[in-house]
Amino acid sequence: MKTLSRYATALTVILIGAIGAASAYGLFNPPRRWVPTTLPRQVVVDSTGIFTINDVDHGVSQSIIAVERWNGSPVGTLLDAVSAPVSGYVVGDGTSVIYFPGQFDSNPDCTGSCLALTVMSYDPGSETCCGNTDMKTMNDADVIFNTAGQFWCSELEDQNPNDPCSGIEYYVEQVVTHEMGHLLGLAHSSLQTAVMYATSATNENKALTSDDLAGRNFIYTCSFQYGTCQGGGGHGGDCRPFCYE
Amino acid sequence: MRIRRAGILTAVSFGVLLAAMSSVMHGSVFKTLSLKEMKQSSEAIVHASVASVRGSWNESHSMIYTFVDLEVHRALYGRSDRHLVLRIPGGIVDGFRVEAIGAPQFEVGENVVVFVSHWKDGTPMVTGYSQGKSRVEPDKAKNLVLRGGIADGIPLSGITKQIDQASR
Repeated sequence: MKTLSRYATALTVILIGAIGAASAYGLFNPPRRWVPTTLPRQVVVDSTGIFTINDVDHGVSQSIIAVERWNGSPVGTLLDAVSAPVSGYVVGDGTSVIYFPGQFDSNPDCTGSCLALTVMSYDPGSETCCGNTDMKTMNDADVIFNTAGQFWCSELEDQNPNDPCSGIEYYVEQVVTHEMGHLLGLAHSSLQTAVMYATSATNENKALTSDDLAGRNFIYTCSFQYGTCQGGGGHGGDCRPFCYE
Repeated sequence: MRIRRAGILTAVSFGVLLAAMSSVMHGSVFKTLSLKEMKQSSEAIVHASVASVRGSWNESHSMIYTFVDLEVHRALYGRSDRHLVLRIPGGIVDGFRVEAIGAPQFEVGENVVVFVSHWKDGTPMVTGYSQGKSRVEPDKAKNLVLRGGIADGIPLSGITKQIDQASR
């Protein structure tokens, strides 16, 4: 009887441990990152902003702050945000933008239940090693917001006693921070408190958690090297580097 | 008593583990929709096979889209042509790969259930991005079950009833 009880307790501990391990940051499949020579990555924030955000510049300054939340020790500066007019996005042009389509954009790719969409390209034939993990090389990533179909606010707007964020609005800071995590190579975390958790609730504005930062640190503090392609590889091929050698 | 407690502990552990694993959903940032909301946002829900998948640049060469040809077996809700071509953001052209994080991905030959609505230009799309696509796969007992998306875990034989109930 006692043995059974111990067994159950041990199983519980193992399962909770497994949940802890599962409740962590995720990498894309295949994993990908920016190579050191392309860092810091410049991100152009659309100076138009989001027309429904009632702060000094329609959420642009707050978006810039949110982009740069990912910088810091031990990775240094990964992202450098600037503000400029953005009229759209072009995949593969090497320029990362956060695009806030206007109220009358006729064909946004992020519509309906989509709050913001990250579109990225990478070279499937690239071969790099991040420690023991095979990585592909990203060559572009853009973020498109659903400005017309959702309600948005910012921390600055929330400080306005006449127009605080309401229960139907999403914080632009949280969504920008989340999308920048994707831009850096992070997939979703299964930890609900993490910024990189898959869904956002209205009126929710999370800070980066240790789980988010662990994901960032894993990708950008690894021992980086260019790999040697196994098999055919090459541009368009399915390259597998020898990261375990 | 101890045996009961051990059993409860084990059951709770497995429950928590399953809940933690099932909460993972791929996407950029999306509102999580209920089955009722998904139905309300869709013109049709179809059971279909993927006949072909083709990536293509748009006219301005700014974005790659994937066009997915569906051979529709039957409409589980609404009306549908026997042949549908969905447009999905992202895809591959000449080895150049673009991913729209959270957009559904299709493979030729896949047996799927898809919630169908339209982009603003009228082209069919998957409602709710990856929430609107489920694969139809046999379980251990050889029963066909939906995997992935909003309908994850629902048996194919019971999906029509669940869709009907979703509007009440």
